[in-house]
Amino acid sequence: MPSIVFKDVTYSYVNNGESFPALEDVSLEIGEGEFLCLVGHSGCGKSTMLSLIAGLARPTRGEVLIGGEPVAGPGPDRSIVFQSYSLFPWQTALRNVMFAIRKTDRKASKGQARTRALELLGQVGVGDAADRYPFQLSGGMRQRVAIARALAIDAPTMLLDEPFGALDPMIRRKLQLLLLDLWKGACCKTAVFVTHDIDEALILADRIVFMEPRHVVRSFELPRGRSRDPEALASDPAVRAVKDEVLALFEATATGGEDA
Amino acid sequence: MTAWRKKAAAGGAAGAGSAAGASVAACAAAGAPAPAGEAAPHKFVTASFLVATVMFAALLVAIAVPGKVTPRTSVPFYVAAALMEALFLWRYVAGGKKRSTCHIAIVVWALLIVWEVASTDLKLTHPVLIPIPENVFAVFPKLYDELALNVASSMALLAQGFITALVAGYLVGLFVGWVPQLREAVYPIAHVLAPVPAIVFAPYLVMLLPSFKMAAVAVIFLGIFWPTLLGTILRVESMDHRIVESARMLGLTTPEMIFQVLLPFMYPTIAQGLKTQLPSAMLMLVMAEMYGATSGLGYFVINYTNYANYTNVVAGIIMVGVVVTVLDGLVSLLVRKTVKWSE
Repeated sequence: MPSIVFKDVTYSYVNNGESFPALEDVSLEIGEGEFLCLVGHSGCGKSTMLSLIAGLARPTRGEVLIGGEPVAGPGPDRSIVFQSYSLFPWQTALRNVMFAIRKTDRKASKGQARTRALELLGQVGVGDAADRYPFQLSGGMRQRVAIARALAIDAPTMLLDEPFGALDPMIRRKLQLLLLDLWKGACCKTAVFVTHDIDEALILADRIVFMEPRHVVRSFELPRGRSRDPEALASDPAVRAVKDEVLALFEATATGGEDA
Repeated sequence: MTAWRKKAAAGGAAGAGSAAGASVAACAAAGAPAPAGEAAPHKFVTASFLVATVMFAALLVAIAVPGKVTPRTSVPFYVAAALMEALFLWRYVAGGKKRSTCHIAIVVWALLIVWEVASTDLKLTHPVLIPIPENVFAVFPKLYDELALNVASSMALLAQGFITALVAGYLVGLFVGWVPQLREAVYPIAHVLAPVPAIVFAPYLVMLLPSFKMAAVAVIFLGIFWPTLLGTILRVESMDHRIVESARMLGLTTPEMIFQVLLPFMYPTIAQGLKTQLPSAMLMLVMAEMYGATSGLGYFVINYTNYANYTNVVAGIIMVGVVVTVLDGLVSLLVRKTVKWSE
């Protein structure tokens, strides 16, 4: 059963009175509990797709449905992780997570929120840094806290906009596996993950959706129970086939992009 | 050639030992309290420190030397100089910026020496327009009550105008900045009104409002409110959208958004902003007090200007400087104690 549906969605943004299309007649269905990666070159509309699901932007035409209902605006049934610096800089790591808990679960007492927040920070491996402010944390630690905050909201849908884009490869790999673990642990959340890194998508996704500017081009299913070890992924013929096809699409759209 | 010059030159040439000696001798000769910590540890002693110390000694000598004008008493001037020296030594020993501390001291001593020598010692200056420093500093103990009352009166007006303008400016600014429809209506109005110098309203407001105090508060309010409003609207608008969007995803109400997200995010800029807003509030207060007031620092200065008592006028100006400096120090303290994060 699909949980998120794009129905002929067009989105244009207006700049200096001129309107620029970011998405044109996009239709897509995302299944409940699915981990979907949106890949494509920068500026192809991946992040716009995410903003539309989040309700931070409204479609110009068409509609985005979640569980059959059109998206009315941002709300705590969806959590979001951005590439960087979306933590509240005036709060410690612990307070950031507690704030999210108490605002989305208004019945939670301060003590309960604190316990839960510490537990989440422990799960993402920054329990020791609970009392530090974001400016005192490294990029990787900040993103760990951001993931803890997203999990704290306990929303059925998680939206991730290149959350590991600014991190170095070692930390990136660690956080990808951590995210995957947490996603499996908190069973059946729908995850939409935007990236332009094909290897990241191959590790994380149940399904990869490739976008060229303004359009969804193709979608590729990946074997669900596969090993996430880099070598096993490289030697898995099904994964290899997807990787080759997506790389070919990347190359094809790159030339198209340069012509335009 | 006066004695102080010879002595200062000798001290400068002979180095630390004789400089300290000269200073101590001057203190003893004048009977003024010797400033604490004169013998600073040797590793602290730099060339600028020596120059500053020699100049302090030179000033004491210049006060002690009988000049063409004989003041009634020199004691308040000695006390003021000793306080300044104590402050300098404290900053020098405890503070981090030793060199700039010395340079500030050198400039201050140079100005005081020039003033003292030109007015008291040599009588080169106009006897009425340029009061001698001894008399100016003597005003503080003499008119202690009057000054204290005027400072209190000024501070009461400042607090009322400044605080209400800040609270109103930030609250309205946050609301207006956050709600797009309000922003479109209010921003252009604020943009036109903010640059009108509030002081042009002062004479009119004094006529218009029932009491002078109300008028002064209103002038400060106008001078602080519009720029604060304008700045706040702009800052809300240009706030990092990731932070705003993260907050919106939590489904916050508008008051929660304003008081739990926008306000704490802006607090450091607000606190820092006080440092520039406070002097402009002080400016408007003193200007306002110069029209039709019957108390306050501005009144003190304008009143004695009207009586051509420039000794009191200069003392009043120094008092304004001291008050502004103290307030600025309090704001710095507030910023240090309450701003715990940076971006």
